[in-house]
Amino acid sequence: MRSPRIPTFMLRRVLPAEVREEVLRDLDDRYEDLCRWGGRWAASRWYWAQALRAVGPAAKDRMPRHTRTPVARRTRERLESVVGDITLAFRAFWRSPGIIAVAVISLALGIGANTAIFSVVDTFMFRPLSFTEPERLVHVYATLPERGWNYNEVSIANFVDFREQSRTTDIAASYARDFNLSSGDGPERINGERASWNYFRVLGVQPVHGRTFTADEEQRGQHHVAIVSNGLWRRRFGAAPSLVGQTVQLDGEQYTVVGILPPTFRWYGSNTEIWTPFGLAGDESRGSNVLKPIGRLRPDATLEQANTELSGIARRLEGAYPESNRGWGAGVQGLHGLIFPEQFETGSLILTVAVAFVLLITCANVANLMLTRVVRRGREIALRRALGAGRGRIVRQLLTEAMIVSVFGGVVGVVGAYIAVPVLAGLLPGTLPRVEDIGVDGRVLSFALVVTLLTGVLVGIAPVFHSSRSNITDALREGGRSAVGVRGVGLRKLLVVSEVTLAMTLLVASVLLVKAFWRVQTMDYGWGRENVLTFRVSLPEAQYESGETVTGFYRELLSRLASDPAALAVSGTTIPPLQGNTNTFFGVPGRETPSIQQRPLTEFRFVFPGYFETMGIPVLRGRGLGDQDRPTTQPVVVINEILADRYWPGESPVGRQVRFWGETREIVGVVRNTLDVRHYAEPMMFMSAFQYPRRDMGLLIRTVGEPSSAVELARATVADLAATLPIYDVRTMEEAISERWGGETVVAKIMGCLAVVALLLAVAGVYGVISYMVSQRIREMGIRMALGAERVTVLRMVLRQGATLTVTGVAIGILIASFVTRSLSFFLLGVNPYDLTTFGTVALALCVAGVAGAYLPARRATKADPLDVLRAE
Amino acid sequence: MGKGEYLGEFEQIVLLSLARLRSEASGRRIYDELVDVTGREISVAAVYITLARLAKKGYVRSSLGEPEGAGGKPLKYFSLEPAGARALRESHDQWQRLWRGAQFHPELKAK
Repeated sequence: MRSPRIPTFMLRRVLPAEVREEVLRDLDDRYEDLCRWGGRWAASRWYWAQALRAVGPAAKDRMPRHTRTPVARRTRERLESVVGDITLAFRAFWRSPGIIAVAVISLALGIGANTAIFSVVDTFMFRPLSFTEPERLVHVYATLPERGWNYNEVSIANFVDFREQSRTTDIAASYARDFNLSSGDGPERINGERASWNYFRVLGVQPVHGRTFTADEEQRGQHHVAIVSNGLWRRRFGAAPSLVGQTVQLDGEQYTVVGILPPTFRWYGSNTEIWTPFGLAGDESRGSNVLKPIGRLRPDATLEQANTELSGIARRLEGAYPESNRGWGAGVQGLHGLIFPEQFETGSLILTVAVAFVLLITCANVANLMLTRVVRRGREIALRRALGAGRGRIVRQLLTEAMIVSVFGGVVGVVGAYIAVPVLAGLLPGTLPRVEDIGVDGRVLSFALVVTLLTGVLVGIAPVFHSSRSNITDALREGGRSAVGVRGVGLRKLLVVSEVTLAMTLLVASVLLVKAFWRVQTMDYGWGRENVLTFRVSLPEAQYESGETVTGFYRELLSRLASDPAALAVSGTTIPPLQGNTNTFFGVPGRETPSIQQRPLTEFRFVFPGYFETMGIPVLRGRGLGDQDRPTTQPVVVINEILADRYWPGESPVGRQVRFWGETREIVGVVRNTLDVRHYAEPMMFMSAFQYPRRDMGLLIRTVGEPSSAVELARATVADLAATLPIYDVRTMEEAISERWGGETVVAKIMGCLAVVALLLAVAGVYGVISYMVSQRIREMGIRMALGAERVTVLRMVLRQGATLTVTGVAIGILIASFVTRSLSFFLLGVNPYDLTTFGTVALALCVAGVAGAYLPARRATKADPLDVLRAE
Repeated sequence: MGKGEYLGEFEQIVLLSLARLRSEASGRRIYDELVDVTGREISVAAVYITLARLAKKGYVRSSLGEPEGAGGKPLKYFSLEPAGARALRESHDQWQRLWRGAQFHPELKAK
């Protein structure tokens, strides 16, 4: 017969080693005897009792009884009194298990939510990047102070000068350049980058096979070498180390693989699988800013030194190349700022504050619950004080109770966070950097611990405050029943008002964010969003060298796609809406060249004829782009309304000219404004992709039915024309919309959830306080009604109290909210932060909810039977 | 007996049972004896822990007996050391001195 497992385990843990085996042997023998004589059940019970009884003596044995030093004795006494406090607390909890359960659950919710949000915020904002010595890595950027531009991209030519001249920083860079990989099985579009030769050296990455680039390989002609990611190496090349030294075909050209990266290397928010060197020819433009260089501070250099040095270099470049570099400065910031730009900081801040609000509301609620207990235990506490327990002792007791409740809440909350964090991480768009790192780890747990302890203090303060003011003799004289004066109500009212205030603020902010989320999902983009499929094709330069071959290919592709009955219309653009942007400065001939702040700037796209028809964009004046626009004819552009209004206000721009990239172009038409990557319309210029052939195009098919049904059509048609040509970035317009706003709207989604929780908690708070007041004044109500007061009067009286609390909270909340919402503007995507409808609706809703919370206790008050109440006297 | 050290109640009980059982004082015999005589629920672990503590103080000596049965481990037997006997006696005297002067109000007098 085996003795029960749990108590045996317990005994093994607590017993001192010298007696452990003996005691267990003895207990096991007796257990067997008892089983035989008294049955298994009785034996188990006895065994459990023995195990529990062993704890005391064993603990005493560990803590020597006769300690000699006074310090040790004092510590021991203190420890004993803490243990005493805890025991007392548990005993007190047993008397009101309901209240304690509610308190623990609320706190679990609050602490859990904070822990979950922190796990995300920590990953984005605080955890060090996973590179060698990440604190020495920096982002090098260009600035154009006159236009207020900061953290701007750097041109390749300027980058080369920065790298050569800097003594404080080793600077490197890369830019996206995807490839068609056509060795192995079938063509595949691979995310690629062209990098400076020292890119991996600066990042501190050692290849697992082969080497990184050499300085020579950065020069054009010698740049046909490649480094592949560990993932690509496994996926496409069977993880064969012999890949190093072999050639692969990228865009139809031969590249020799020189290195394979370790599996741990990745750049946050990108999934680049192949890198080739820049291939510099020395004639790179200074005006085309395409690089986001990174750097590693040299051992003795600081960020400030690097900053000063780079501004100095930028000034020298300005002097040497005034036409391209005039006004441009440079600077460095920590690399973190490049990977997680400002909106991450703002988003993290918003969510942290919101979730802290929820916790504060929870704390206020729980503090209220604890207050109720203290008031009920008023006599017990007074008695203990009368028997000589000092004020400090009582305070400690109450704080201990609060702490225990909070620790329980924290434990449950952390368990909840373990479940919630993966869900939360799944809610975030996978394109955000580092999403895959989000999880509950030691840092998150320490945070949860700190929050739990703080919560304990917050929850404990109110009862302490209350009890240290209460008067012993009064409490004893009242004989456990409260007199007419309701005690501790001021404090409770304060708590509830702050709850409503916090909820109001949170609700307003959330409703505004949800409104913004809704707006970008449903707004009129100016183009038809239904039934459009987009995909990209990229013609390799080696096979499609001349403009005619490129145009020939796309003409054929477009006509084949259009002939399919599933396609209503087909066209193409360099960048389909919401999938990126490019802009350029331009001039207007005949007008003075304005200063750099006022130089006209516009978005531009190259589109195929029929683009406006396919996208459903009306041409307002002149004509769209058509087949007549060819490389040999007059260069033409079509502009949008906003550009027309800005530079030709009140007149028709058709027939006017603009000048950029060394060519004068005629405006042939004006189209209606459309929205692109931003939530507001911007100046936009369209040029013909047949006049200026581009190898890299995004194609659009407006389908008869479900757009995703055209994917096969697209794939087959392209494969038919060029067997080794992959299509990629396949998505519908609807998908593009949710992808574009994924990061911003996730904030709205989380805020929406938090706001609902806050609303419920605030209503629960109002309910709690009003029902407490009613229970304390039930005699008064009874007497009132005995003296002839109408039930309605009593009802109204109680409801009025609820309403007063709520309205006060709402009023203060409106004030605070109007300060808070301004800071949300980045995420509001054009929604007015002082939107009156939102403020009004939320305020009204909260007032109604508050009164509703008071309704139940009010009904109870009217049910007070005068006779019952008087009989109780 | 060191200055300021006195025997706890349970220690006294255990020492007394040793004095009663003499050579038969194994851990389990002591437990049975205590349960029989005092009629209290007693913790097995407490008995062994106390015996170990008393041994450390030099009041009690332990020795191994014959193994019980084939393959069984030998039982530990405990006996009083002179220091233990002295401590027990001193405790007893202390109590006696205290009792000697004790007077009870008639109402409190035990039946």
